[in-house]
Amino acid sequence: MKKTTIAKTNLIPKSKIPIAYLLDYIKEGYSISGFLASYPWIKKKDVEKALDEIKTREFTARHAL
Amino acid sequence: MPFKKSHIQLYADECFPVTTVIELKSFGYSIIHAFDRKLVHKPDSLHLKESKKLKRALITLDRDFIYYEQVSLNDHPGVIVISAGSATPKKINKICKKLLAIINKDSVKDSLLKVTSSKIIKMKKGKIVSERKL
Repeated sequence: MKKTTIAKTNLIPKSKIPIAYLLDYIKEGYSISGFLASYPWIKKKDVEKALDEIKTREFTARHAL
Repeated sequence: MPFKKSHIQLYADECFPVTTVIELKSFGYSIIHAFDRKLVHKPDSLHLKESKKLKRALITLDRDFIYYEQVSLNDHPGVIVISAGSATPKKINKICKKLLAIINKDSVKDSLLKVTSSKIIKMKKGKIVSERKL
């Protein structure tokens, strides 16, 4: 089978799960524990890193400076 | 049993929620998650190979598989890409229950099914073969 490589971006650290999935969970009222139940190999600290990254990228860029 | 068993056997890649796999198993569906096979953090090509080896259709939320389909799914049990507009179990479970009640392994073989909350699009070699309401 021929391999096709597609660059994956904006992932939860140390995983292949997009940060967008995490945002879906939060938007629909799930807790971080609910997200971790769906992806049990992901560590809570890596979810927190992903949220910190969003905060730095979006909030700081527009409002905090 | 709230709905009839599907004869289709599934292999879920790491993007697919484990909670949905547990729920589908509780309804009698045959589904294995990549996590059960210790295959997380692996390339997509490996999931395609594993599903073929297990003779199970690959089910995923990862839309990248739509592009791999253009390469070749000949002699493959097939790929199902769920595109629900949300990755939460609530949305995914709802679509999967509706989908699995109406498809079988022959309807997926050698093909890619792109499934949204309202329709199923069947593709072969990058071209749409059929489309139906879900």
